[in-house]
Amino acid sequence: MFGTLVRKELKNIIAGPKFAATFLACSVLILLGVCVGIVDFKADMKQYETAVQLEQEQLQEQHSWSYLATRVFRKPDPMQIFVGGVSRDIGRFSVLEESEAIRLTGSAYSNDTVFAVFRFIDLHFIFMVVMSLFAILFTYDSINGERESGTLKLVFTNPVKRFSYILAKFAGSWLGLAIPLVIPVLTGLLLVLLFRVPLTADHWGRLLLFLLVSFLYCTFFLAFGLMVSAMTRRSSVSFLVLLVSWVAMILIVPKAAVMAAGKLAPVPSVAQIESRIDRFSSSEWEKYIKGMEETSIRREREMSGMTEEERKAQREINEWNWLEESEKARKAVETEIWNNSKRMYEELGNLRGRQERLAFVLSRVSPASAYKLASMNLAGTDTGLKERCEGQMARYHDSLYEFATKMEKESPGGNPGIMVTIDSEKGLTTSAPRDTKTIDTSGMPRFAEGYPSMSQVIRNALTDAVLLVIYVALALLGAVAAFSAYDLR
Amino acid sequence: MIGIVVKKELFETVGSKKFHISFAVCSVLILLAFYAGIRNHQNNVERYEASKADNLRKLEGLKEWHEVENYRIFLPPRPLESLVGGVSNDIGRTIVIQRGNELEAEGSRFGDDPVFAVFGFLDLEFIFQIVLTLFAILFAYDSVNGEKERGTLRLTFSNPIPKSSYILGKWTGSFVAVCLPLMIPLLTGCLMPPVLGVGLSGGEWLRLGLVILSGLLLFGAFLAMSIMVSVFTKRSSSSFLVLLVIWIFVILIIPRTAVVLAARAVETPSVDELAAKKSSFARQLMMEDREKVDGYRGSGGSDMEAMMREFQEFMNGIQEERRKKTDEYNARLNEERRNKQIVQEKTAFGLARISPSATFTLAAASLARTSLDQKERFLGEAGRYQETYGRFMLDKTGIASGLRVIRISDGDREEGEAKASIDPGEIPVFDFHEVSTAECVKGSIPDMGLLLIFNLAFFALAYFRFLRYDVR
Amino acid sequence: MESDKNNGMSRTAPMLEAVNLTKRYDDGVLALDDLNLSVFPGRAYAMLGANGAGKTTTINLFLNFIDPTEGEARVAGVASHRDPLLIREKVSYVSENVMLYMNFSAVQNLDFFARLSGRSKGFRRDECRDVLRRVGLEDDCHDRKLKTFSKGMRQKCGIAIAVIKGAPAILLDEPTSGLDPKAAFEFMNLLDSLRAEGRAILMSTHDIFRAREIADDIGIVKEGRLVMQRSREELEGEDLEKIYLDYMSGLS
Repeated sequence: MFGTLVRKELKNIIAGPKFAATFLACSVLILLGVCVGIVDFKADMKQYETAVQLEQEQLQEQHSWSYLATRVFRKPDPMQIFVGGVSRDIGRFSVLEESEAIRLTGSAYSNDTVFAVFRFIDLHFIFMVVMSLFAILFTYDSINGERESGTLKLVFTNPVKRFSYILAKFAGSWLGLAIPLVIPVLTGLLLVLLFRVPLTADHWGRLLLFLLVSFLYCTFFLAFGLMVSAMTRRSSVSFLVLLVSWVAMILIVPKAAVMAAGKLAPVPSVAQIESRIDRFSSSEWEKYIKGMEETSIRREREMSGMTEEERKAQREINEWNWLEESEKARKAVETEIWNNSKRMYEELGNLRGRQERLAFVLSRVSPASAYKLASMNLAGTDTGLKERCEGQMARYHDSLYEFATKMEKESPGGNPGIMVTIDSEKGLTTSAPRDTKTIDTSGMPRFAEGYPSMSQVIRNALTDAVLLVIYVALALLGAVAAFSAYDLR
Repeated sequence: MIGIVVKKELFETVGSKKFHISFAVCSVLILLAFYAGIRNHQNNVERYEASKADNLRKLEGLKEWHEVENYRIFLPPRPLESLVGGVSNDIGRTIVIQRGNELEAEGSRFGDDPVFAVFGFLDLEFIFQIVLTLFAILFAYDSVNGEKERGTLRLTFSNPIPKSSYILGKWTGSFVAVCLPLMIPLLTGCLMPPVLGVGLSGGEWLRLGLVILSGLLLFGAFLAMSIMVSVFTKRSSSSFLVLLVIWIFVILIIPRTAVVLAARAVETPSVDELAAKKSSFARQLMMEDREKVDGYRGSGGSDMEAMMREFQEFMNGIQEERRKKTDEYNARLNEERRNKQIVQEKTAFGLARISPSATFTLAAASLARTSLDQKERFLGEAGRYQETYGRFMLDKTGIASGLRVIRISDGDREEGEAKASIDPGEIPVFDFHEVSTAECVKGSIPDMGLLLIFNLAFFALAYFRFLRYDVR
Repeated sequence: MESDKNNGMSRTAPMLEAVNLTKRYDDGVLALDDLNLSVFPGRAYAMLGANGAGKTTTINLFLNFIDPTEGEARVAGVASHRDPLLIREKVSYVSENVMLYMNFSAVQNLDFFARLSGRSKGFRRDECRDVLRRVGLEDDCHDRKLKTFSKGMRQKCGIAIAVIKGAPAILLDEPTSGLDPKAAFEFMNLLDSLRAEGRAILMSTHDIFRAREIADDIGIVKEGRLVMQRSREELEGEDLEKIYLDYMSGLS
C-alpha cells in the first residue's frame, strides 16, 4: 500500500512541469555555483602564493633580525568553494611586528570591492535560497491541492491509513526532489576532481557532511510545506503562507537576530580598542624615554667628578653594557605593549563572542540560519575563523620573534639606522653602517596554517545539525498531526 | 475605459487576502528597516565620534610635534548608508595619516565584526530588492491568464473594450494598487529620522526620494515582467513557476555570476603585488639615501644650533626628493591598478545590468553614496588632507617626514626645562567633501533610465502579445 | 401576442445572423461547417448538440473571440469580425459557469461590468440593486462577496450583468447546466421576460426539456453542421428528445 502511494507520488511529480523546471534550474545553478567557486578559489590561491613568495623575497633583503617586520597570509581553504562564509569579509593577512598585535586586515571585499556589491555565489547559497524554494514548490499543494482537485476524497474511499498516506506523500516528494539534486551535485564533485582542487581526505569528509546537512535542510522545507498544506484548505493560501515564512526564515530572522544582538550586547569598535592601545603604548614609550633620560643624567652625575679622559674611558668601557641595557629596556616596553594589546584584543574577543553567541542563539529560530551556521562550521569559514587564524598567527609571531632574538644574538646583522653625532670638535657627522649583509632566512620558522580537525569541526557543527534534525522532526510531526485531523471534504 | 479597468484592478487587489498579508509584511519590514537603519547610523556616529575624540586625546601630553604618530582620519558615517548599505560595510573606514606614507583604508565594519557579515544588514535596498519584487510577482503572475482561467476574461471581452485599454489599465491599476498603499509605511519611515533625532539635509531628502523612486521603478519592472509572463503562458501555475525561476536568476544569480566571471576575466594586479613592489622600491631608495647621508659633511663651525639646522635641511632635501620619487612611483602603480579596476568594474557591472535588480542596486548605491566610488573618494580626500597635514607638520617640526629622533644629549642642558604640551586641536581638521548631490543624481540617471527602459520593454512585450491574445 | 411577434419577425431584420459560418482551427479541426441561422428580436433560439458539436464556437464567433474561416457572424447586420467593439456593445454574454470577481460583492461586479459595457455616463449604483432584485437576488446578498454565492446565485448575477448592459442580443452558453430545478425554472422565467422586452436570445444547451419550453426556434448541431432547425410551431406535438437522439445516432 505504502509503496503504491510513494510510486504514484513520484510519478506524479516527475511528470509535472515543476520537476522539469527544478531539474533544469538545479543543474544550471549547482554547476554554476561550483564552477564560479573553483574559478574564484584558483584566483585566490594564485594571489596567496604570489603574496607569500613576494614576502619571502622581501624578507631576504632585510639586514637585521632586530627590526624584523613581515606579513603573514591566510591560506585560502578549498572549502570556500562550497561555503564562502566570512572568508571574504575577514582580512587576508596580518602585519607582523614585534610589538604589534596580530590583526587580520585587507579583506578580499575591501581590496576588490567590485565583488562586494553583489557578494558571491556558492553551493551553500544555492541550497539555502534556491533549493529551499523549490522544496516548498514541491509540497505546498500536496494535501490541499488534492482536495481541490477532488482526488483526496477518492483516495480515501479506499482503505488507506492517513498516516501512511502522508508519509508516502513525504517520501515521494523527497525522492522527487533528491533526483534533481543528487545528479548535479555529483557532477559538481566531478568538476572539483577535474580541476584538481587540492582536497584532502578531511576535506572530503567535511564536504560529505556539508552535503548531508544540505539535504537535511531541504528535507525540512519539504516537511514544512507538507505541514502547511495539511493545515490550510486552499493551495493558494498555503503558498502565500509558505512564501512569507520563507522570506522570514531565510532573509529576515537572521538579520533581525544579529541586529537585536548588536543592540543587546554592544561591543566597542576596533578603532576604540586601537586608540586605547595607542594611548597605552605612547605612555609606555614616554616612560621609557624619561627613564633613558634619567639614566643618562645619572651616568653623567656619576662621572661628574672625573676628568675628560676618564669620562671617555668610562664611556668606552660601559658603552656595550649601556647599549644592551637600553636595548633591554626597549624590549621590555615592547613586550609590555604587546601583552597589553593582546589583552585588549582578548577582551574585545570575549565581548564579541558574547554578542555573537547571543546573535546566533536568536537567529537559530530560523532553520536557515541553523543550516548556515552548521555548514560554515563544517567548512571552517565560520566567524571563528578570524579568531583561529589570528591565534595561529599570534603563536607564529611568538615563535618567529623568539627565533629572531636568538638569531640576532648569534649573528647580529647590519643596523639600518643612521647615527648622527654632534661633537663640539668635529661638528656634525653622520655614519651609516656599510654592513649590508642580508639576513639568512633559511632556518626561519614558516607559518603553517592548520585546518580545524575533523572532530573539532563535527563538534562545532553538531548543535546546528541536531537542531535541523529537530526542526525536520517537528515539521513532520506537525504535518502528521494536522493531516490526521484534516477535513477530507 | 482605462479608468474603469484601473479602478476594478485597484479594488480587486486591495480587497484580496494576498494584499492584506503582503501589505502587513511589507509595512513591518519597511518600518523595521528604517528604524534599524537609523539606530545603526546613530551607533556608527557614536563610534565615529568616540574614535575621533580618542584620536586627539592620545596626542595630549605630547611635548613635541614630531612625536605625533598614527594620526588617523575617519570616513564619517552618513544616514543614507544605513538605509542603502552598498559597499559601505566592506570598505575600510580609517586611514592612518603620516607624511609621505602610502595611504590605505583599513578597518571595514564587516571585517571587524564578521558576525554582521554572516547575515548582512536588513536595509531598505534589501526590502525593495527581495521582498517587493517577490510581491510584484505574487500580485501579477496571474493577472491575465488567471482571469482567463477564472472565466472573467471572456465576460470582460464580451463588452466593447479594446485590448490595448485593458492591458494598459491592468498594468496601471496593479501598479497603483500596490504602490499607493506602500507609500504609507515609506512615508512613515521617512518621518523616522527627524523624529529619532537624525536630521537629513535637503540633498539627502532628494536622494532618499530618488532611492525610493528607483525602488518603485524596480517594482514596476517586475510587475510588467509578471504581466508579460502571464500573457505569454497559458496557465497561471506555470507562469508562477517561470516567474519564480526568473526571479531567482535576476535577483540572486545573474548579478553575482556576472560580476565574478567578468571581473575574473579582467586581470588586475593584486594588492600584495603592488605592496611588494612599492616597498622594494622604497627600500632601494632608502639604501641610496643612506649612502648620501653617510657622505654628509657639514660645513663645520661650532654653533650647535646652526649645525643641526644645516643637517636638518640636508635631510629634508633628501627626504623630499625621496618622497617625490616614491609618490610618483606609487601613484603610477596605483593608477595602473585603478585603471584596470575601472575596466573590470565596467565589464562586471555592464554585464550585471541585464538584471533589473542589479541596475537598481547600482542606482541606489550611487544615490546613497555607497558605491565603489566612495572608497576612491575617501582615499582621494585623504590624499589631499595628507598634503595639508604634511605642510602643517613641516611647519611645526621642521622635519619633512616622520622620523623618530631619539636625542641623546649631554643632559645637563635640557634639565629642568618644563616644555609645554602640544595642542592637538591645532592639527587641521579632516573635512570629508562628498560628491555633490547634483553629481550623485547625475551618476544614477543612467541606471534609473535603464530601469525605466526595463519597465517599458517588458510592458511593450506584454502589450503586443496581448493584442493577439486568445481571450477564450 | 404570438402572432404579433411572428408578424414582426418578417418585418424586421434578424438581430443575430450566421451566414455560411465556417471555422477551421489551426490544427485542422473543422469545428463549424457552413452554419446558417437567424435570431430575430423578441425570439429565443436554442442550439442543441453534443459536447464539442460547435455550439460554443458559434458563440465565440458572434463575440469575435475568434475569426471565422469563412462566412460571417452578424450582429444587427454587422459582421462581428469587421467591428468587434461595435458588436460587443450589442450583445450580452452569460457563460456556463458565470465566473466573476470573487473578492467583489455582487454590486461591485455589476458596477464594473456595467461601466465596461459603455454605460459609465448617467449610470447610478442604485440601478445595480434594482437589477439584482429583478433577477431574484435579495438585498441581503447584494454586498456579500461573490465567493460566498452558490452556483444559482452566480448565474443570476451573470444574467443581471446581461440585463444591466441593456444589449439587444443575449448569448447564453449552457446557462442552466448544474442548476437545481427551482433555480433553473427561475432562470428560464427571467429569460422569458427578457425576450418579452424584445431582445434576441441565442442559447446553447443540453437541456431538451427547457429548450422546448422557452425556445421559439430549435436547432440541432452535429459535428459543426446544423442538421435540424424547426420552430416551436413545427415541433408541436412531436417528441423532441426522440428527434434529438435520432439525429445523434445518425438515424435521421
